[in-house]
Amino acid sequence: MHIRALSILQQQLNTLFSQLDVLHSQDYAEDSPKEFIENIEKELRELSSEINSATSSLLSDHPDRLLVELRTFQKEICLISGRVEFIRNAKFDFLPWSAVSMISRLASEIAPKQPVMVSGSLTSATYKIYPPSNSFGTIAVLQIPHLYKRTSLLHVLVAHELFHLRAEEVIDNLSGEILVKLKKLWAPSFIAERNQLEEREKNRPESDSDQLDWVQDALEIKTEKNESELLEHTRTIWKRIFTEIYCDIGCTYVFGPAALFALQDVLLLHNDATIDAIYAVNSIHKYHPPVSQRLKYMLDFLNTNEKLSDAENQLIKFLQEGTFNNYADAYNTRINSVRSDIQSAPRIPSDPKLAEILRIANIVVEANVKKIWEHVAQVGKNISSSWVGHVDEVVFHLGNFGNSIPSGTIIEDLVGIKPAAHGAIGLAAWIKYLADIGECKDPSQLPDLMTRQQADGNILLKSWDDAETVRRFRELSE
Amino acid sequence: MTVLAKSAILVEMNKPKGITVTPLLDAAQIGPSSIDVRLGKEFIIFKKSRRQVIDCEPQYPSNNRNTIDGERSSWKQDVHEFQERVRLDLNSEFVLHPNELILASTLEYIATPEDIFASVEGKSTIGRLGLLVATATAIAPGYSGCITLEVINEGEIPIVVRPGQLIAQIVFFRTSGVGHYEGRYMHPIGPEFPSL
Repeated sequence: MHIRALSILQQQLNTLFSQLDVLHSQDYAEDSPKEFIENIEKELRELSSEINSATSSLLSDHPDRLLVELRTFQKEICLISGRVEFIRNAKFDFLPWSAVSMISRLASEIAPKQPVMVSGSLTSATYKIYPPSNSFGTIAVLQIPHLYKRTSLLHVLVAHELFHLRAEEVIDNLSGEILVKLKKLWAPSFIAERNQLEEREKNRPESDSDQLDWVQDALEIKTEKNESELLEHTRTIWKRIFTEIYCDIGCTYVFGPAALFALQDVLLLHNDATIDAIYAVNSIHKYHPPVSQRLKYMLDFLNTNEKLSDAENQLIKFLQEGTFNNYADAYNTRINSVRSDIQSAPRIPSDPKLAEILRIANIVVEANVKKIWEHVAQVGKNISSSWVGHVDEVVFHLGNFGNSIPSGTIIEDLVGIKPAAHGAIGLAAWIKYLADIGECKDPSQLPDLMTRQQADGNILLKSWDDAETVRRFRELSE
Repeated sequence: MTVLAKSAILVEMNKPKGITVTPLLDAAQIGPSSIDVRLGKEFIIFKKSRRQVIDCEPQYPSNNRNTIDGERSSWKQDVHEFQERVRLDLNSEFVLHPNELILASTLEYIATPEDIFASVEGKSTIGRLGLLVATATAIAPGYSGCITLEVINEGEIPIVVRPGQLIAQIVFFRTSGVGHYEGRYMHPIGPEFPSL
């Protein structure tokens, strides 16, 4: 049995080694996958030698212990296999070139010290960043869902994920302070419950049979152990909300209104699970704040931050000077739709205990939101990109230029275009870019320049399509 | 005008604003004095229509800009009545019946510098089967976009074509002066409907 298990493990190791050999020869849009491959190869070699040494020392005298060890090795191989999958999806033809260069630029600005590898996912529908860890080594992995490769405001969603790499800094600074605040906020409730327990203790029944009921009844009431558990859960929920709000505000700082619209679109189809549902499946660490709350914090920041208000005024000015008033109107309509989404009724947990956890966590988030503003502004000092900065991506907006198409979809036909808010941002960015490079001195040239933007947008759309074509061609050739 | 041989084509392709042909799926597409191009994934096919005739050079009743725009828009609608765009996956089959005409395009996006003229030529093997691929073959200097191909089966039996197959070749010529295309078919990424 042990020999068979050993041979299965050996086979799996060989498969991974040969997959890595193939991956070595692939084209990647950046260098990090090569480094990732080398790290994995090194780990696999170490694992292989550990398996050999465990086998030689345990096979004859402790075969049962060997089987236990082999099962542990198997788990490690599975983990490594998952990482190999990331590299397979990081191949050049799985990711469009414009996205990769844009992401590299953003990553070098938002998290300058952190190497990030971009990978795709054919099965997942969510954007995710895996920070460096034991299973990923020193490289963070950003996973873009294959489905959403063509998202018109992809750069915003990528920036949100990249800000996750910085969120821990502000959370670490606050952690001690937060625990004190949470304890303080829970204190009245804890004291009331302790009093209730003491009161019950005074009324302990004398007979054994009555005592049994009394004890069972008491299990429903909080004990000190529950207090620490409640505190921990509140801290977890606070951290989840705070992290998401931090990342939302971070990408708002960089991209202004584009961030608002991108998040509004992508969250439209997001699984907005309630805290009750998350709590029931014991996945409290996966809690995401509701859309209305996230948009509220983003809009507050957009309206309050001087740099962003200036940018918004500039956007409207560009559109009005260029006689694109209809786009300015589309922009304002969209902002109003955000306001209306913010007004949507907040979800109140049905369990009063969970409602209290959420209430307290939110009080502490609200009290520290300025810390987010400060930290984001500090991170932002290194960021040269702005809401008008990503012209490479902006031309892609043209694909969705005339239509209010949610992120994650593309438009195949440009017949019957009408202004859209995304388009307004793209257009204003384009005008600013042309002005910066000295190609738009006179606003009256703008209608012609719009034709040029349309042309550039087409080229970019084709480049995305070509990435698919190249991939398919290779598949057919193999 | 001088025809560019392979070495000159490669030099031009490596210049920052030189010849662009993308995606070039196989380096072997670059021949001794031309580049083979592939059939794109989009087609404009002709539908049966009750319309008896289409005017290829309509006369406008007045010089009024709004009237002309209105007429153009109406003419485009007429064209859409008997032409339709379809899109196929790479390597899927498209059967072209005898005497059937479709508009296709090169898979490759092509850009020429201001001193290079290009011409689209059919592939002889395909031509010998009765398939003609290009009737308007001139690519002006400074042009960029996919090239629309007028593909017609002049033979007696149906012919299968597949997106991604090699369908034509482009020959490049160096011009004696410079020019820049400013026509109405600039930057297409697939076959273009006729435009006035």
